Amino acid sequence: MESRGGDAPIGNAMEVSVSDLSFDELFANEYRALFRSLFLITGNTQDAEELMQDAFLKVWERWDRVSRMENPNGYLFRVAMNAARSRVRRLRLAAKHVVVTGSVEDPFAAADLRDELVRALARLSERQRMALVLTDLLDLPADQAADLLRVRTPTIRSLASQARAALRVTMGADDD
Amino acid sequence: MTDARDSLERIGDRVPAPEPAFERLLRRRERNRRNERITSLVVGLLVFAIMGGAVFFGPRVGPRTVPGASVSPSAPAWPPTSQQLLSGVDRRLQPGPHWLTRGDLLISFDVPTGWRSFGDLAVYTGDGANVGFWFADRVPVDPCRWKRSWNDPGTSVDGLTAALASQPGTSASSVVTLAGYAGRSMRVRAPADDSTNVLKDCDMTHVGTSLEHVYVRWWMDDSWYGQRAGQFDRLWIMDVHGQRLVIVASWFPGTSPRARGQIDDIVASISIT
Repeated sequence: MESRGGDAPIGNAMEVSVSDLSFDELFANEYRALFRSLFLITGNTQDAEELMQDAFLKVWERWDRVSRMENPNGYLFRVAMNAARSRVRRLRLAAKHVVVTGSVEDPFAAADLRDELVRALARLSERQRMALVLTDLLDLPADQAADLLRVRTPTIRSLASQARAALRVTMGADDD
Repeated sequence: MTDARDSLERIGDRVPAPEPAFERLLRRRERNRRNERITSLVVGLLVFAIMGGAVFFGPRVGPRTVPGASVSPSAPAWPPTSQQLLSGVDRRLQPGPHWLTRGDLLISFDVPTGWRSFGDLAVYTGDGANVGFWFADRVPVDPCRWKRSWNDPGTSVDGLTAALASQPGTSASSVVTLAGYAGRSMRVRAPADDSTNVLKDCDMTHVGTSLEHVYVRWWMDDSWYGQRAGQFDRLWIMDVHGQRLVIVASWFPGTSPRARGQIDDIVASISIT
């Protein structure tokens, strides 16, 4: 998957002709990929669905404008990733000194914590997971991923590299 | 990179998006719209009721008192703005009066400069000062192994005080009056030593963005109140019109004297109606 320019598309529907796209089609094309990305970042199906729905609703509210964009799907993922980033920042800030939570569900429990790979992913920080999803799953260039996460490009490379290394150790795979 | 991508796809594919996805989106949109309408209606009715109450029952508006309790601080001017009413949103607070609700109770207090809200549960600073408002309905027998067994604290102040007193790190309780209501106060301290791993054998859960060992003191529905290593808490367990309210002030050894003093100011300003 390639990306173009400063507003590069992310997601599955890069090839869809923008002028023909309706909101229903955008949803049908993108919701699985967006949910999967958000689940991999948050480790929680409820949070992933909530972030996904929030992103789609924001796009829907602005559909007159978004539908004229070159890459509505890119805008959708950008909105979703911004929300996920804000959630990470908010959770980190809140958890810094106050220990409260609404749930005791372990992250990635829905994906079966008996799996070593799932446990390895759960041990990564959410920022590392986000960097990995953006660069490896969504194929975003490092500079654009860095822009989304509001960090410097070397930071995104470092976060993704740490995450890859942790997964590689778990899988016992050779470095590529 | 391919390995990582394969791994991510493998995990992600095991958890499909909830279906029917578009219908769920429609329901969420309808729910959002309904909530916006309800909020508008409630705010309108609240303003109307308060203005009517001020006209017809002016002298009666304000905090209630109970026999034997001292007079509580005067409740700040009502109604609050949306910024003054704590909700599920975490945000930096403007200094001045703020409100939150817990059950049927309306709680107000003055917030100094530099404090933030933690949802509608608490206010806190960046250096570890915290003032929170809880109902506690379950108390772990062991705050470290908190997933295993619980004490039932009943519904009385004495019941909760006794359940907490059986946990390690708690002081004897004393009778107090706060905001005009009688109750008991006690001090609670989490384990501390020179290492950061003092809680390493405690049960873990997802705190914010990471898995952590935590020291859980009580539960309110599906939320729990826990401590980090070295944390100090002072509790006021109050009976307020038959509802058992726990006010908790906490800090760490590194919390600034200024923030410590502000905790006292906030607690002294609490008014409950």
